[in-house]
Amino acid sequence: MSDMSVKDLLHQTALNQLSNKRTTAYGIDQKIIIDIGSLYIKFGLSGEASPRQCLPNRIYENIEHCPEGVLVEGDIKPLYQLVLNPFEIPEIYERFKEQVKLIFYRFMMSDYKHKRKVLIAENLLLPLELKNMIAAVLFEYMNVPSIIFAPSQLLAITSVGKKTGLVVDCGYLETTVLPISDYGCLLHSIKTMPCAGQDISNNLKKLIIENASISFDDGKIFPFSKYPNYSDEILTNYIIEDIKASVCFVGLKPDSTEIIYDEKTHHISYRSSASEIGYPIENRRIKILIPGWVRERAAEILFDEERNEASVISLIIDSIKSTPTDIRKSLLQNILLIGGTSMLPGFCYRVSQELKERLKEDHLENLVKEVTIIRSKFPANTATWIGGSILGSLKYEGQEVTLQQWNETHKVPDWSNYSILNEEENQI
Amino acid sequence: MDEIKNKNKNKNNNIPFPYVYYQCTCQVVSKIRKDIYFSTFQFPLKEPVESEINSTTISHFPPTHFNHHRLKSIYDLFFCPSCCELHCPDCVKNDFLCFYCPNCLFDVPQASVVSEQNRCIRNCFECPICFNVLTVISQQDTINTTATDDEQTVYFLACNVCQWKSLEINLSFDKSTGLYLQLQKKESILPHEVEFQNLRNHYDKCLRSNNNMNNINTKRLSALFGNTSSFLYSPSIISHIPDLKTKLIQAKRDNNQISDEYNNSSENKDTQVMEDELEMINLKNLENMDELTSLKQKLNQPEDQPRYLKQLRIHRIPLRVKLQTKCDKCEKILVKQEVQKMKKPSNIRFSIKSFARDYIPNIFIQKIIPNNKLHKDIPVQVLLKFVNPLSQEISVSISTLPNKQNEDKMDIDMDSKKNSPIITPKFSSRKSSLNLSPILSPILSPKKRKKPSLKISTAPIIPINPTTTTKIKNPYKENAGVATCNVTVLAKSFKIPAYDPTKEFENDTESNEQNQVGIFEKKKNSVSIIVEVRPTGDIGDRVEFPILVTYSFVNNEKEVNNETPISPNYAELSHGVQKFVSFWSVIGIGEISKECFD
Ligand SMILES: Nc1ncnc2c1ncn2[C@@H]1O[C@H](COP(=O)(O)OP(=O)(O)O)[C@@H](O)[C@H]1O
Ligand SMILES: [Mg+2]
Ligand SMILES: [Zn+2]
Ligand SMILES: [Zn+2]
Ligand SMILES: [Zn+2]
Ligand SMILES: [Zn+2]
Repeated sequence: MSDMSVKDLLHQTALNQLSNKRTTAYGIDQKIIIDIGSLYIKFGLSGEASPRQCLPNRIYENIEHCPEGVLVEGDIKPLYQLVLNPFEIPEIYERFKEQVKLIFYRFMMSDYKHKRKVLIAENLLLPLELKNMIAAVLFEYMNVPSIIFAPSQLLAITSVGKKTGLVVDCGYLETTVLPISDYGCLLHSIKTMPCAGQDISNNLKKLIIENASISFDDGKIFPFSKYPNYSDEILTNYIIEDIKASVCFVGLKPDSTEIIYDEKTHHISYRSSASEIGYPIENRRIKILIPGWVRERAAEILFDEERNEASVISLIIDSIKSTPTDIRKSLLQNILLIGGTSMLPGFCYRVSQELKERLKEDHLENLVKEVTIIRSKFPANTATWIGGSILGSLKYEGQEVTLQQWNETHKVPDWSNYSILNEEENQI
Repeated sequence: MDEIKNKNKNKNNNIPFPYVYYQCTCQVVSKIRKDIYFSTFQFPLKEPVESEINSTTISHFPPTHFNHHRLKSIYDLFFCPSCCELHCPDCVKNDFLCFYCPNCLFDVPQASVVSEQNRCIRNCFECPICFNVLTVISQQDTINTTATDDEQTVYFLACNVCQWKSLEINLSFDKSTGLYLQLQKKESILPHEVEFQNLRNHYDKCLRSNNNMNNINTKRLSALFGNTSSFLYSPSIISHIPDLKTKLIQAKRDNNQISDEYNNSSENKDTQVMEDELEMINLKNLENMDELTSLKQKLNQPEDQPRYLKQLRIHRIPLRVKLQTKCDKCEKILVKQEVQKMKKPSNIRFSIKSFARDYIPNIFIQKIIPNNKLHKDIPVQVLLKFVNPLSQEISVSISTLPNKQNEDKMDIDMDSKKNSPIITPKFSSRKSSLNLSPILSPILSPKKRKKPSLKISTAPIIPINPTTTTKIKNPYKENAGVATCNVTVLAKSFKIPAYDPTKEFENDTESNEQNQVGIFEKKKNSVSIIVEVRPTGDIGDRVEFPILVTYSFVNNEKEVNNETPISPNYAELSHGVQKFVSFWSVIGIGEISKECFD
């Protein structure tokens, strides 16, 4: 307990009292479960075995036709970025409002009269402004009766029936590693790096522009770099996401003979036995010929410690090292990979192999044999949602903010925010 | 690939000329909130801001930089007769009138909407490849059935657009009806569904076994100290699920028969890694993309997001809704369609409708004189026609934004007409926005900025210290529109006679009264005014300008007639009271073209 200050303890007690005061008996009414990612919003009803949709955050050109008419879809665009300019919040607010409108009216067919509670899978590191913004839209615009916040990693671990494990979340903006022990998140051991799907996308785009060619239906082939003006037009976020999710994969750690360094341009390329693939665009008239090594190594930045000062593996190692020795074994026996980026074929294999190597190098040989990656029946990007669906359908009492509380304080509770608490104490 | 086309369209997301568009009230609300946010870094509540909305506040918030995305055509706008405010699809409350299948038009009762995952339960399926409707085809026509008899007819689903057949995923039917039921019988339960049920039962059992042990003290204690002292606790209440944790740990103690470990069958511990390696090798040796699914196809099947086409399944067609639209503020029903079971959806009848076009002056560009290309510094006259849809006479006053050269003139305009309050727009929306006082303050210098009059609750954490925020770029500031024309309106206020349905087919008789300066003509319930526009921008610039329209009327109808939709009533307005309503509209007349001398 040395880790916790007296002040923290006091806060903890008071917060628990608070949460007990707030909890009410739940019926088994279905809740709406939402996992708000930067790129994809996963949503659906509690008690269902899959989210209704993984909805990309995109621009719509005629959102006013929602929900009754046909929508014209624009390109995918992340809802927010890690570095948040406060001036952007109103714009994010408007975009999120549009998404919520689509989700509730069009897909969930649930209006404010249904009085469905909403369970939000909460990214623990999400800035409080965004959390407030999310609550503002749901309360003001959809008049939801209450919002329950639950930490996303904890939800993910329930999707595999575990109570202890090391959750590695590799999503769009960031990669986080969080150990969980007996349903308790060890927040002191959370490790994170701002490198994930978005960085792969940017890297992939760059590699395609530099190394791919375009083949026309008359058989002519030109290097892609000849069409610099086309690159943004052709390589939209959607196309990049599509290329990534269909033909990219993660190869094993390249040894030095596989790496080719160009002295002049400082570009790195790789030797690879992977095949070149023609990605058809413009109604199949044109193909982008993507070299095999680009498909294999676009995701290499996630494992490149030299360039990023961190890698998926170093995060895991650092996190493990910061946990008490007696739980390390059970954490390594239960590694859970979540987030869309971990669905890249070979990601799991690479993590497993490289982690074992690193444990050996770091004189943790005794743990090598423990490394086990949990097999889940659910796609990794929906793991969090599934956990929410399970808990949401049970008599689970979480952190709840009601519409009334919102109207009074206009705040959502946060683990880093004690002001609500102080206010409540003053009232008593 | 549609995405490329979409992108191109995105670039010039501009309304084609000529046009008259309107700014909805909610844009004013969000501009005020935005401004408060930028000055205090706290996002204000909606309601107190909304209650500040009146014709004066509206006048302070012209549509800057013509965010076309948010401007609306009059046909997309509603008007709440109780609040006397414009509303758009972004600021109304919707609730469901009915649910129907867009393919078979079958009206689905609410109860089965939920249980059937919002999808049609009849024979409507969508193509997993291109998402169009699948049709039932019988095998008999295509295959020569000499050996077997015609009893052997097999049905399958096919897509008329992309030619996909359900036979490709080995799916066929014995009968051509009740396909959904047949499909349900055929499809074995998917592995993720089995797993989900097992998990749910597991947690349910754990929680249930401990239901009577719901002692608050035990709970608090265990949440605080943890039941095993071997691990750390963070100072977070959300970092664990207190209730669940307590119950599960309690369950384990109280009842040792129930294990709180979920049994994930007897799988080899390296299965996951081995499967992944195989998948990776497959992809490494991939020859082409013919067998692969697209991102859209994957996302359409979120339960397994398959990589290969052969793993796609058919899905029933998602239902659609018909909505009833209510005022966001007062919940008055603005639009309600009459729901007639099994009638063609084209045959829409409204039982209630409060479209803006039946309430506010309708503005049209009658003529541009001369109707040539626009050139820099060559003025044109725009005839703006205002049509009064109401059965009362209305007084209209018009203001425009100050022109570049003669900014100071605007204040004089204010006093020119003492009896009718012409509201003059304040020069910069940025400056005026902070002043929310409902009284028109004549002087508004940046030095005299007031704190917003709204009560704002203190936000818990401010991300970036407001004092240091000068370094942060405010993207909105730069967007503030650059005027591309000077606008002069001579007839700043005029009256428009009431709309009289009995006069509809009479000949146009020009009223004999002396024409006011700046008025081109008066006909029945319309007035056309002359607006002089002098383009000042560069070649290629869009010539568009906002005008503030304030109209007022006195409700002198004693009887309220609910039935005639064209003569909307202002039931909520007391008899004889004058009411002012303001809105901004944006007039776009064209682009500045190159000068040519011929
Ligand atoms: N099947 C897939 N294969 C590979 N990558 C995928 C797949 N599905 C999603 N992704 C990637 O995962 C990322 C999104 O992951 P997700 O966990 O949904 O992010 P977030 O929650 O931050 O929005 C995207 O970069 C996307 O390209
Ligand atoms: Mg996520
Ligand atoms: Zn609106
Ligand atoms: Zn149907
Ligand atoms: Zn098709
Ligand atoms: Zn109203």
